[in-house]
Amino acid sequence: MIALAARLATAAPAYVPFMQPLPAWDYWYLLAVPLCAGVSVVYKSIRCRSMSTVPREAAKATFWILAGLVGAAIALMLLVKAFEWAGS
Amino acid sequence: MPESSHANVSPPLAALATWVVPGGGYWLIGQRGRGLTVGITVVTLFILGLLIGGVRALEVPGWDDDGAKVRLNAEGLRIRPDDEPYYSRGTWVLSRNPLSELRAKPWFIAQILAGPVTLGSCAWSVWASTHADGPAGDAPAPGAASHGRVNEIGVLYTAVAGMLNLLAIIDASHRASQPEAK
Repeated sequence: MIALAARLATAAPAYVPFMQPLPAWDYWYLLAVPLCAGVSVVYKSIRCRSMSTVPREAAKATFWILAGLVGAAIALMLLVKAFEWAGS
Repeated sequence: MPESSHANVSPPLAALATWVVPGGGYWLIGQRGRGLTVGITVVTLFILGLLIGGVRALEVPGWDDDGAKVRLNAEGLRIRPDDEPYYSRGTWVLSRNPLSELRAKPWFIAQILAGPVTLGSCAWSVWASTHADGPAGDAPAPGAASHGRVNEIGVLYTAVAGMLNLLAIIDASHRASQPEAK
């Protein structure tokens, strides 16, 4: 028990929000979703005449931005594969 | 029903209000729903950026990674904080050559557009970077520096928040310049 307590005391400090980076390095790609949602909400809030249409329009914009990101990633991956195949 | 606006507020005041409080310009011209939506989203994105990258993801012009002021000697070379008495006699880089410091930390130009929340966060970042036994000390700083993807994404969130607030500043001042909707 004492050895366990000593080991815990010297273990890495617990995550402290804002003082340490978010331990999201394995899921970093998911962080694109809130960013795209935020951009969509602000852009549609500025562009839409009525605020009642903003939630639906922002959701559509978020979907299309994310779809574009995924499409660009796939296209670039295929391009890299093509270069690798051409070079081999 | 479209939100109506009134032109009792001057465009520069609407722009300034939007910078000081994201969405504030919309609030002044009577478009409160729009102001709340934009303001909450901008501030949330900024805070998420600090949460993702840690507060030290903010690189503050004029201060180094250890929380010490960047000072230059007469030749324009940087003086280390532990190199006294030369450090105390050096000139603060923002007093001498602010543009070069901004060029070294260009993300700040976007981040400051989010308003005074950035300035408060910069003070927090400097505090989190400062060693417990002073700028030239060896004791660990309260905050950890982030690297790699989480650092990049955190910086991106804060910069995008600033750029979105710039959009809001321009739009709010434009709406304030329009005649009142009947």
